[in-house]
Amino acid sequence: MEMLCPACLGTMVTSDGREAICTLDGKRYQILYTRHPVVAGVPVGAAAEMPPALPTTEASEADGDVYNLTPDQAVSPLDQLAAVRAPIPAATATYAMPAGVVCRTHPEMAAIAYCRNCASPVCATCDFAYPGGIHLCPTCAAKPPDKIGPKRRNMLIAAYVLAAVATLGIVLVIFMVAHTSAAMRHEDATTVGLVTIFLVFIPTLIGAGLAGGSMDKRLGNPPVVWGAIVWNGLLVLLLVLAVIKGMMR
Amino acid sequence: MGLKIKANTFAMQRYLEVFSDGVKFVESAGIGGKRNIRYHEIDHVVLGDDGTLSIQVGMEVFSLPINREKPDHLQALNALLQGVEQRGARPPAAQPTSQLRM
Repeated sequence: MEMLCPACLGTMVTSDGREAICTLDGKRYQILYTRHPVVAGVPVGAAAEMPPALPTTEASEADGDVYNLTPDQAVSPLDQLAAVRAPIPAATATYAMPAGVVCRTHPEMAAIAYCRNCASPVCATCDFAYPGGIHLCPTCAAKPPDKIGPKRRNMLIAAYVLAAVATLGIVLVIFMVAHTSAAMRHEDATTVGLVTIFLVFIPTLIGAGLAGGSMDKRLGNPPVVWGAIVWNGLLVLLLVLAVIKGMMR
Repeated sequence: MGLKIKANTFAMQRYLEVFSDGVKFVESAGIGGKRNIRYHEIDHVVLGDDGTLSIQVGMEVFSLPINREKPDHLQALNALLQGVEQRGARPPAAQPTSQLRM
C-alpha cells in the first residue's frame, strides 16, 4: 500500500528511506515504520507493484539494422510494455480498453482503465485500483469524496431529527407555560418539567453530540453538516440561557 | 490499560492508546470515532515536522499531534514502534479485531 500524505492524501516518495516527501504539497515526514520495501524515487509502498523493467536489446550484426525495420518487424514501446507486464487480474479487468487510448498524464503510455470519477484514461503508473474493479486517477484518488459516508449520514439524520424534536419540545413547553395560570399547579409543573427533560434537554444534548461527531476535518464538511451543528448549537445555547435564567430567579 | 497519547481539544476527545496486540485510536466529539487497529494491519507510521504522528492502515490515515518533550508520549510512541516491528509482519491467528485485549 502506497504511503499517503496525512494532510492531503497525496502519494509520498523517499530518497533515503528515512524521510518521505508528499508529491502534491511537498510536506516532509519522518518515516518511523513502513511495511514495504523502500525504493528511491518510487512512491513508498509501490515498489512491490512495479512492473519488471523492459528488456533491453542491443543491436548486433546478427539482428540486422534495428533502426530500419519494416513495419511488420518493428515492435513499438507500448507493445513491449504490454508483452512484459503481467495481465490485469480478471477481478479488476471489468472494461476492455480500446486500442490506442493513452494515459492523460503520460501520453507515451497505454491506458489500462478509465477513472471512475472523471473518466480520464490512466496508465499503470497513474492507476489507483480499489476493490470491486474501481479505478481512479491520482487527482480523484487524492480528492475527498463529495458524498457523505453512510455512518456520517445516519448521524446527521439522527441529529436533525433530535433537533426537530427538541424544537417542538421547546414550543410545547412555551405553549404549556403560557396557558397555565401564574400559580402553576404541582401536576402542571411536573408535566412541564418532564417535557423539558425528555423532549428538550436529552434530545438537545444527544443531537449536539451526533452533529459534532459527524464533523470530519479530513473528508470535509458540506453545508448539511454545518446546518446540523448550527441548529443543535443554538438549541444548546438556548438551554444554557434558560438554565442560567432559572438559576438567577 | 495501555500507554496513552492524549491530544484532546475543547470539543473533541482524541487519544491513541497502545496495547500489546495493537492500538486504539479515538477521535470523537461525543459518540463513535473509535477504531481498534492491530499491529499487522498498520502499513506506515510517519511523524510530521509539526509533531503530528500518522498511522496508515490501507487507505485510511489516522493522525494526532504528539509532544516530543513529554516522556509518556515518547514511551507510548516507542511501544507502538516496537509493537509494529515485532508483530507487524506476522498476522496472528484469526481473531476478530473486536476481541482485541483492550
